[in-house]
Amino acid sequence: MKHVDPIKEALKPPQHYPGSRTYLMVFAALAILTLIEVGVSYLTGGLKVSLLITMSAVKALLVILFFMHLKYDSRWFAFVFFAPLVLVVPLIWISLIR
Amino acid sequence: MSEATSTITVHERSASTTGLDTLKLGMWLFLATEVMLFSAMIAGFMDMRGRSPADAHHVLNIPLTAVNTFILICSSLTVALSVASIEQGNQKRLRNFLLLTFLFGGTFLGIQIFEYRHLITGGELAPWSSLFGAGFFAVTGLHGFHVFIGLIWCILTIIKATRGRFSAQNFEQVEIFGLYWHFVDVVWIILFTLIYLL
Repeated sequence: MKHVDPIKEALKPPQHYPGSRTYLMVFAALAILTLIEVGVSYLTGGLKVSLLITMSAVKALLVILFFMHLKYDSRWFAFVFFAPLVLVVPLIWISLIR
Repeated sequence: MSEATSTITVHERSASTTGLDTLKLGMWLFLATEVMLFSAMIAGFMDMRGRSPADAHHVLNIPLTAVNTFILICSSLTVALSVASIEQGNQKRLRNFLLLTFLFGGTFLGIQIFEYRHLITGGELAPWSSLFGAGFFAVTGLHGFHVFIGLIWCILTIIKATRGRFSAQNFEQVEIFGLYWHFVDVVWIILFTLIYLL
């Protein structure tokens, strides 16, 4: 079995993150979604709430996955960050439907 | 690589025997606690809003806040580009993008203060006027405080960048600052929808 020296592993250069092109595409998506969100906010009806929450969640995920590099980093970081959602999502949901 | 350089690199990248970067793990743990803090505040706000209904579309300035949201998104882009710059060893671009981040963040906070002033002096909304007002100022104020802390952190990172403390092999501290700044952006993305648009 090959022995992995943790010190040597640590000395490896950091993993490569997405380049400027990806960041600019994510930025464009965030800007367009924000514009659509503002338009949708002037609508009435039940669909408005679902659309706004979905777009907001997509925007948040784009920032977390690409700008915060969670898509490229260790899965442990994702676990640590998303674990509180088990409590958070029901809490927000209850406050929304009250 | 000499032994001395290796020691410095190990120290600066916060290596651990688990293979995980401890500084980064610590930051993600901190952000997880921030998720819980903001979630409790948001749930409280939504409850207050339910008890004291207010037409956000008439009281709050949505076009101005949409512009402010765009400004914060721009600041997230410049932070991401600053990390990409130092990853390639480009010190000048790192400094410039961090400076832009500071300018965008400062503008965001300035517009938020203008909004507060307008709402309170115009008699439209104040922390003491209703449950909606109390919740609105508590949640957006907590977020604004986080932006303020981020701006101080940004200045410190700019100072370190100016002194040449970062390189293509050592930019973990820029990344950690970036994680905090992006998180503040994520919180605002959610607050903008829940407070202003719903």
